[in-house]
Amino acid sequence: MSTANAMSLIDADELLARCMGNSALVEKLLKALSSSLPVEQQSLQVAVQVDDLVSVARIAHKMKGTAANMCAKRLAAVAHDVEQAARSNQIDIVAQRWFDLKFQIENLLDSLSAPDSN
Amino acid sequence: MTGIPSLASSKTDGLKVLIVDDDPIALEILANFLRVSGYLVELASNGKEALEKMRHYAPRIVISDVDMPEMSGVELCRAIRNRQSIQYTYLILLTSHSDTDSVLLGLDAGADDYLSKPFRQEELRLRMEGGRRLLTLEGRDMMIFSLAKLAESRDQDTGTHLERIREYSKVLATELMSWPKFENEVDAQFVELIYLTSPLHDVGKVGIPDSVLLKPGKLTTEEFEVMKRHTLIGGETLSASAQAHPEASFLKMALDIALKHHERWDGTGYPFQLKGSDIPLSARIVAIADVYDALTTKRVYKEAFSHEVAAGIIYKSCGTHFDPDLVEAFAKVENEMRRIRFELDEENPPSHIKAANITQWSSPLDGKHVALQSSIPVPCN
Repeated sequence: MSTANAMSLIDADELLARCMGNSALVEKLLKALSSSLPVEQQSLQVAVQVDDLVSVARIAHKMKGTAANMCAKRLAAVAHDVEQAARSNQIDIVAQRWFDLKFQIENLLDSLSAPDSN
Repeated sequence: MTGIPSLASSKTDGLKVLIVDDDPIALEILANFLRVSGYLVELASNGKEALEKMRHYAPRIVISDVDMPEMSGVELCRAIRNRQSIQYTYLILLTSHSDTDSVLLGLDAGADDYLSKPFRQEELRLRMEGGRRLLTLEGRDMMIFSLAKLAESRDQDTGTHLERIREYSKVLATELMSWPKFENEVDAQFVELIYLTSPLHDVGKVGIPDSVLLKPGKLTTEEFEVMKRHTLIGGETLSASAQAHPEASFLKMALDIALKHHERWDGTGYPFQLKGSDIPLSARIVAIADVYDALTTKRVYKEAFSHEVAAGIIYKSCGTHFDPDLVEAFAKVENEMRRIRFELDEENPPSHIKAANITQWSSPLDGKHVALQSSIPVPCN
């Protein structure tokens, strides 16, 4: 796992401050994120494919909260868009924004699993 | 880099907090912040688990997410409020900005406050501080009430004695609030504090033997010396708390009242023979309230005096027993005193009270005799 790579998609300073300067906790949270994000991505993908907008809104809402807590602002913003589109029954926009969200998730997961350049 | 707020001044006193959220990352971040801030933290992943943990952990503050499996934050609030609990639990809901409906539902279900997600550290610190203040007030009022009731249970005074004392004290203090002479000493907070703490004036009676405290009739000189110790016992009881919490002004006032409400303006009271303004104002106020109540209620050694007779005794004692300013204040609020006595006199409804044909009154607590006059004198003229 590469903290340095992941930090390019996460506001590192802000996350460290939210963790009260506890870098061990930052590491622990990044590990938790790399475990939970693929599961949520899979659940979201299934819900999008069957047009289950209630589940899409619920999962996107949770992902938004997790991303905001981890200071992954771009991921949080796109998850918010998907949640809002699902809540207002805009299937086309959900499908469209889902690709953006998928890109953000995979980007972050890649950076979390990539070898540390340091 | 975002600054980490200083927590050095936080007074969390190891307060127990339960955090409820189905997002483990949110739980970890919140828990870490609260632990660093000095709170004791327990975690739960949904409402049902939270209720189960509350049976053993007894948190004073619960911070809960709204959307959770098994039991939502709103349902949790309702369940907590429906419990029989001896202490109040402060509830904070975590909500997203767009979730105003949940905020309204949560407040309706009994939440005290809410916090937007993701939480901002300074906002959370202030919300927690607000909760802690409310819980401290609850603790203060419960402590005062419990101590006063403990003292009352050992006394033979009627059930509404404490209620009357605090009402009389409040009326007298409120009158002084408008006097320029007391503008730096008596304000709304002083009035509130004397209302809260005056019922503790006789808390030291818990340490007086039954043979003296409950004796029907006059006390011997030796017994009276024992009885006088109730001021010192009350003072000792409260001084430890007052020293441990110097910021708690109610404890200082409670101590002053318990220890010095039997001092007399002319220096002939007890336990220290303090004179004049060396006696704290709160104690001077309760002194007059306590004597007025003793005079106007029935005791085993005397009938209840009418208001007029009691007022006459108080005017007669101006400058000797009582502070002349307070006697003047008493004269200005006589109607209020009379009304309180009427409304809170459960033993002897005033309509049935006949002005006793008494020419002399002697309090068993100070042994001093006061000759009564047939007409009420003008106070301290």
